[in-house]
Amino acid sequence: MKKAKVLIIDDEQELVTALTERLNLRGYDASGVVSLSEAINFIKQIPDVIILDIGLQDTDGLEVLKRIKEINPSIQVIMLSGYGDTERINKSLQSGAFDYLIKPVDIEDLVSKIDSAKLKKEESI
Amino acid sequence: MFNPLKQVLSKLTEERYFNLKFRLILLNTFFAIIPLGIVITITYLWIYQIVHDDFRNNLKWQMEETRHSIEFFISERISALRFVSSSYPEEYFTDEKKFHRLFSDFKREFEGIVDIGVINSKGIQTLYIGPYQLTGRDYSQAEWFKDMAMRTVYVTDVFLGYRKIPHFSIVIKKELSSKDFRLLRVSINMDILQKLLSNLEIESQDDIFLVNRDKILQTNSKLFGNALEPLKLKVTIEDDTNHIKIYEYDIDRKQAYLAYGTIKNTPWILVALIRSEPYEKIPSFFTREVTMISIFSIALIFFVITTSINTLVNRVQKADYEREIAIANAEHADKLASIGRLAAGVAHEINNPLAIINEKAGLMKDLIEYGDITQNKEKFLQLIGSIQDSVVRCRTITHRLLSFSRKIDKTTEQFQLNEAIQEVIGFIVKEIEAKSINVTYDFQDNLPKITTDKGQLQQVLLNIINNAVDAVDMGGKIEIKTELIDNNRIRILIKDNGPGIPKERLKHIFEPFYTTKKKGTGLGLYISYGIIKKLGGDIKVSSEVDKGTTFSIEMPINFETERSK
Repeated sequence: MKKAKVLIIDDEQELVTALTERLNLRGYDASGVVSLSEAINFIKQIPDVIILDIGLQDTDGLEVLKRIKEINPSIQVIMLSGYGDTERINKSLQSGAFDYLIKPVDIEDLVSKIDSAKLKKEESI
Repeated sequence: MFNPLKQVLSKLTEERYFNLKFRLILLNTFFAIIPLGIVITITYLWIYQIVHDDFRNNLKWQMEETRHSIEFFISERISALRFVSSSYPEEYFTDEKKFHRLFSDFKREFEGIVDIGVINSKGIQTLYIGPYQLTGRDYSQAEWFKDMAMRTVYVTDVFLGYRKIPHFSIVIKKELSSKDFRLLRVSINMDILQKLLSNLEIESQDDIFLVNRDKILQTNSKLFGNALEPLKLKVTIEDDTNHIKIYEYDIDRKQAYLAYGTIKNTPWILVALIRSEPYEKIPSFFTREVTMISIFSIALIFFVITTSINTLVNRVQKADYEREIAIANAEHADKLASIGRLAAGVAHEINNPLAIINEKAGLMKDLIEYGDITQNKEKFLQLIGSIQDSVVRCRTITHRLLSFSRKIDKTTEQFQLNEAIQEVIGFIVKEIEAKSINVTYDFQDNLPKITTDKGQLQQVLLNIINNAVDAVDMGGKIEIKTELIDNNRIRILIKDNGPGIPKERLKHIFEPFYTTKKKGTGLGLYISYGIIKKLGGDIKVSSEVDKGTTFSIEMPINFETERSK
């Protein structure tokens, strides 16, 4: 199975860089951005999975999630956030997130979620 | 460990409620006794008036009785003498034996007659029956004889006469011809008048007597001398009144009653001086009856008021106690909620650098697994640097948390207010950023350090700024200003451009459990208000719908100095 095309959106540049590299090392086609404006171009290329931080600097992650789902509902979004409260988790899942992971996350868990998300995307097409 | 009971007990001392009870009992008893006092006074005045009126009426009635008895005594004898003088044949008034028989019959029928005599028109007593030797006496110069020229009946003043014993006479004139007349005269001792006067019931200090129009005593007086002495009493006595008159009169600086009335067909005026005060009977009545009732009523009022106020204050105390416990518990819950909110923010703050550490360390591991360590030495050093930076980030956060935890101890310290405000903003910077809120600062530069409970002040600021963050829309604006009011006070203004609070809500804003938020406890501002007041400050709010809300906090620069005042 071809590895997923992943877009990482997080305002922590250091995190984006490291995570992108780690996913690429594992054979994924990963790209990372730190703002919504940068993300728009990548979203147009329709990634399989987006790893999205809920607390972005220029906008609310939940709003971004809704926008992504409006543009292409098949793109699977995994929320990755420092917040762990039930309210945010529920809202994210209700807005169509594939899953909600709390930072810091184990790379194997993340990879497993990305794979599952890609499968789901393929099923939905 | 949190102990609300201990906190409450420290606030609510028994003394406070005891003082409240004492004041309420005193005030209520005082105002309850006033109507009782009014009733007692009115009753006293009413009884006074009744006793007074009764006394006057009684005195008047007795005076009338005495006067009538004297008038009856005199008129009875006048009528009898008239009958005798006009009906009996003339020889009864010339013949001594017949005259003696007439006198005997007369004396038997009418008490008090001492003697009887016939006096001719020249004033010579031609016949006399009695204990004295008065036959042939000449009365032509006597006042009463002179007066008889104009009269047919005459009752004389009391006088001594030839016998030197106080007496008075009743004289009846009979015209014998146009130029000649005869007088029939009886004498009555003054004692009989004294006896008639004794019918009036008087106390030992009172006096009753007769005087003539010239104020010469006609009977003996206990207070003013014996009969025929001038009356030593400076009073004006009208001699032409048919009614008994009563006047209040001061004698020896003591109130007395002077009653008098003229006696018909006589030259006498009946006078009574009553010095025994009728009111003297009132206090004894009051002492026994009204005072007993009053004492009983006051005791009853006091008992009822004490019992009811005791019950009332105890209930208030219990309600206060329960309310304080409820608020203390809620305050605690609110604090926990604040801590929860803070923890969520802090967790996010820490999770981000932790995630970086995790990913950087993971990448290092990946590089070892997937590549050659020696070729990636520079990269490893960069990754280690990033890990160390993230550790510094975490340390900053944990230090800030430690600093906040110390504030729970509620200690007073000296600190720079502007820095303390920025620390608060540091806690909620993520939320501010999430809503793209533009926070502007207008801090006065030369602000002196303030001495107060930093933790509590920051708790209030966190609460108000959190409210502002919640109130404003995305991209909203919050302005924070600090300024020196005077040498002792500073002001913090927190202004937002949110929807504002309507006036009817604004007045309830500091009340406990009042909230407009869906998930609010309604205690944040109530607690904030309590904290600021406790720290000697003041908190105010102004708001305009659609324009925003401004909170103004005024704080003493030195809370310790302010508290010691």
